[in-house]
Amino acid sequence: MTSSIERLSIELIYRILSHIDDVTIVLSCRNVCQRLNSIIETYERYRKLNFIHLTSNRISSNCLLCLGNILRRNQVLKILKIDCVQLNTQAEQDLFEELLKNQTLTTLYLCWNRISSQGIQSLANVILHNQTLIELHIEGNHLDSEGIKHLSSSLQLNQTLTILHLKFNQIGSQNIKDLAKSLEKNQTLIKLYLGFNKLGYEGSNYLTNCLGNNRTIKIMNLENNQISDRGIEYFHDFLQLNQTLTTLDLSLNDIGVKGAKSLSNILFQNKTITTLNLNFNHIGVQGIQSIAMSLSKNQTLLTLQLKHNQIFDQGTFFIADALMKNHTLTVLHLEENSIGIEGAQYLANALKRNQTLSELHLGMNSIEFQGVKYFVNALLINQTLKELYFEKNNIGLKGIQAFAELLRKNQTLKTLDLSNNGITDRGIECLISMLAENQALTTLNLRSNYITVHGAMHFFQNLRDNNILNTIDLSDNRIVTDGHEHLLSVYENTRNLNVIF
Amino acid sequence: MAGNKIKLQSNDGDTFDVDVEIAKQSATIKTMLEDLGMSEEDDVIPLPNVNSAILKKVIQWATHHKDDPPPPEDDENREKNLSDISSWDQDFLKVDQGTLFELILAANYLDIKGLLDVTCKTVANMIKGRTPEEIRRQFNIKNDFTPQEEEQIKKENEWCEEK
Repeated sequence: MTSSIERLSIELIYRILSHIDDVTIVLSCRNVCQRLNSIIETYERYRKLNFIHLTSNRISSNCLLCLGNILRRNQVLKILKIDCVQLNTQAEQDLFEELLKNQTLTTLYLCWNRISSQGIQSLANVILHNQTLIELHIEGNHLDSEGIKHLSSSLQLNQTLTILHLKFNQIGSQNIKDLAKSLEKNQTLIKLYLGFNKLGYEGSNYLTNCLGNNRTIKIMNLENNQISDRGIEYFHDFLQLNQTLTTLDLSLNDIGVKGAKSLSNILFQNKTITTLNLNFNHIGVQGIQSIAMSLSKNQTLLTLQLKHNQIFDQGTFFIADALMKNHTLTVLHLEENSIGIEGAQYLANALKRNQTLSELHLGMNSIEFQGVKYFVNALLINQTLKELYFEKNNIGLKGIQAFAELLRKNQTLKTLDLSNNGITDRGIECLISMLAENQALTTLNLRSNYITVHGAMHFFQNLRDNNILNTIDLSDNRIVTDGHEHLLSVYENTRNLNVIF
Repeated sequence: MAGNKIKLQSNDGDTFDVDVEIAKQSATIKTMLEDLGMSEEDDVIPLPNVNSAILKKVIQWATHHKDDPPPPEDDENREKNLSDISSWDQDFLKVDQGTLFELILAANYLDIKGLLDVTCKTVANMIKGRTPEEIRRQFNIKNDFTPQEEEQIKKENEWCEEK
């Protein structure tokens, strides 16, 4: 009698399965025969399997035909992710038929798959009937107006979906109408991601009109939608009515001075928005003046993101002024705003008074070591700022010397990012003296500097007295090429420290 | 002790002279030698679960791998791929399926972890990227789902059309 796979014991089948990835077990090994099914069902890894990720490089066209197998009989799978896989009609049909019956899946990703119109219609049918799916990602699928219509009418009745991602779908001002109308009725959705579509100002009008009375959506992402100053105007009435939305992402939307004025009016009155993302617009000095005025009064906003907005020193003056009056903002992003020494002085002065800000992001400006000095003086007084991000500010050796002096005394700062600042071994050397005295800093980012193996080793050797620092990022320095192994052995003898090379 | 030989006897009566160090890659043989004190040259170790052809292959494999470092401990969660198999092993395992499964059984019985790993990996590679139907054909497995079960799957598939 010749041997076959059927003669192998359960233990030997387990052993073979241990060399096979999850996706293959589910796609290929299930439903081959009764025995294999029962063995797989008792296989530890399969029993605990609740997440599957299919992506183009890991899946052959043959496998697509048995996509339905993923969901058939499996009672544990919670998350299914299908990325960049061109599904043929049969596979789409299989998948959506199974999804209709499935009662375990809570999260479904269908991104960049070019789902057909027929497929979207089937998916809409799933949304209409399925009662377990909580999170749905349909990004990058070129949804046409028919598809949006089907999805919208299902969303109107769906009562389980709370998170919907529709980024990169070329949804235009007309198509958003249907979606907006359905959201007027929907009472379940909490997070809506519509970034990288083409809503334009007209689309914003429809959307804001319909969502005024919505009481569930808390997070809305509208980044890169050509909303412009004209579109922002529509948000005013909407946010006067709406009392639910807490997070609004309007980054990359061509918002200028006029739009900033509208936003300022909103911030004067609104009492629910806690996070506002305005990154990558062109608000400018005048625009920031308006926003700063309302920020002085606003008592709700916790996070304000203003990266890349042409704020300059002049605009920083207004922000700094607002920070002296505001008592709620905890996180502020001002990266890439051409802020120089003068702007640094304004902000530093504000930090002497402000007692709420805990995170300040100032990367990619031109603060230099003169600017650092102002911050050092301020942070000798300030006792609330916990995270300071100073990457790429050309602070050099003098800058790091100043920070080292500060860290001997300041016992509040937990995270300091000095990446990409031209720091050499002499720079890291300065930090050693402060380590014995500082009892607060846990994370130090020195990525993309010029530190060599000698500087790093000396640092580690002197770390013994400090028990607080737990993460240091030294990646992209001059360490890897020479003496990496020796360095590793030194820091292995150092206590709980996570070093990123 | 280099050069010491022992005799291994297959279930069809053939005996093979093998260096002790080579034979000891089999944990089963190693235990026999140590526990039973079977170290005399005249002693023959009978291996009732292995035939001559397979035993010859096993000895060939063990001879080639005699200087390998001991294989690492099992890790259930580790995923493997073809590149893990050395080209010598790949050539060595270009055999018919019957032989491959006999080798797995022999490696398991003789407890030779390296051989067991590489043979199981080879089977795993024959499974990857195939549909259930292709796997049935590959390994000559009968589709043994009952007509009722087949019917059930078919019915489930029609469910949404009936709606």
